[in-house]
Amino acid sequence: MTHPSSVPSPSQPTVGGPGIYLDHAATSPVCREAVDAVLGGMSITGNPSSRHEAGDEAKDALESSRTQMAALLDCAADDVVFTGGGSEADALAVCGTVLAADGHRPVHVITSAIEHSAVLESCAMAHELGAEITILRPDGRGWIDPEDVRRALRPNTVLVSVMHANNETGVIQPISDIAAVVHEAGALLHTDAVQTAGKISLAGLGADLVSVSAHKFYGPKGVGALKVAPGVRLSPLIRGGSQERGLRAGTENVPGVLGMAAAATAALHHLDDPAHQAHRHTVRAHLLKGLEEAGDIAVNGEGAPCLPETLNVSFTGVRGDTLVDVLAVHGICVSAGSACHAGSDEPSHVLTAMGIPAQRARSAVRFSPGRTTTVDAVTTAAARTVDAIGKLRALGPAGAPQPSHA
Amino acid sequence: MPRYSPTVVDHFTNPRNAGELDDPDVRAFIGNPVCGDQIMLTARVTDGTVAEIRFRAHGCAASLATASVVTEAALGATLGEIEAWDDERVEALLGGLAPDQRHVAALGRQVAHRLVTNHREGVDDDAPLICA
Repeated sequence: MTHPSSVPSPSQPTVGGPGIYLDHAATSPVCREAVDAVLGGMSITGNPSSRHEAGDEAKDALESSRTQMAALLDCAADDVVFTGGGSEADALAVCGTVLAADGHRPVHVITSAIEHSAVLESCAMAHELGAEITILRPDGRGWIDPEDVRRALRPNTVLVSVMHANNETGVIQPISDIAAVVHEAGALLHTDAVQTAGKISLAGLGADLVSVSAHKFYGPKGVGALKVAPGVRLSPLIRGGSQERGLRAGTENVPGVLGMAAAATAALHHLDDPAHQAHRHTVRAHLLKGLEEAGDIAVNGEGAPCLPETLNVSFTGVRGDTLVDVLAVHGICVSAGSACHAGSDEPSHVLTAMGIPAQRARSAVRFSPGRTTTVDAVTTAAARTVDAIGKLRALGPAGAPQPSHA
Repeated sequence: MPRYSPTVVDHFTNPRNAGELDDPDVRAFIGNPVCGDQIMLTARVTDGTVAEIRFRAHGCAASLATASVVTEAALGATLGEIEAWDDERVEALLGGLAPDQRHVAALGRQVAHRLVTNHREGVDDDAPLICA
């Protein structure tokens, strides 16, 4: 595994020593297998669509990668469409389905309020194209009830899009149950599996359309894939060539696709490793135990099935974006549920959809350890976080909560 | 390019004059209703000069740094000098701000001016600092 370039290296410590990267839900470092595959792909000259030996070499690289991605997506190789990332895969799934629908009557799309902006904005675009959109609310844990999906279905519903796990809370949605409900009504199901691909198995999900993004599972940025099940009708968004079964024009990103496929194969090995699976939960438990020392914290999404790699915590009396900035100075990379841009401070749409008050949503920070994160690293990060929270609370209103050990 | 100037980082990681004076001569409070940043100053003023000053603040990292640099610059300054501060002066005290952070310079200037006005008029801002 390469060391993230943006994290201070152990030889160049910042204020608090070596950097600790706990922002894998934003992006992950590129694994050695993917680096080697990308570098190998850079020396492939041909265009996969060309009818000569150089083209055949590129085509072979693409098709072997497609087979590797099919193993990750639990589908046939022919069902894999390469895209320029997860957001493009989401857009193709949502808008592509609406564009391909029978144009004689308005079509209906169901999604949830906690989706990534790539899905929500694609639904907004689908609305501009004439589709009716229903946005489902999660429960207080950030979980979508399949029965709510059932109640929202209409005779003209063509697509339901519910993410596999949420990017802010890590809450895992009941996709296979939702698939049964959706298919019973004759509609299609799309799931944005960007946060789960490579972390948990995608086998048996039952979704017709599944989006993944390479850089979330230790592959390169700017490349992704969409599983398109047999019989699903999609209209391409990017046109001008017959690549990817006519669903995505443009010469394929051969080095990127090779890197993504290598990362997928490596991730599948880890999925089958019981020691790695146990480590994921151990790391989360130590991280949470350490953060609890801050006192007066709330885990957002608590009580729902959750990815152990994603821990979203609100610290009373502290702004999440401020804590992120202070921790960054100490070489600890995490993300806030909200960001203060240009003087506006909109709390996270995910947390507010869960019914979490704005004040608590603004105090949320997401910690997302990764494959190589050690127990020592999260223990250190938690201790520095508790220290920073104590100092920030001391600056604020008198009587703010103090660390439990203080 | 770093997100914050070295001065801003220094002040939000090592804030000066944090806290609240008991029985201050003047108390000033400013809150930004849009982004929720809040600064409260308490000060003792002797012969028109700030002799002691503390801040409490809740908000983004740049606003915490602003509160800190404002107290540092105000300490020993006359009320007339503080009244002459503008947003650019506060931004200079912070070592510069990115365009999306400039609202904190206005916040710093406003709370400093309010301290002067409140002292002159003999009033206090009693609004408690709350987390927004």
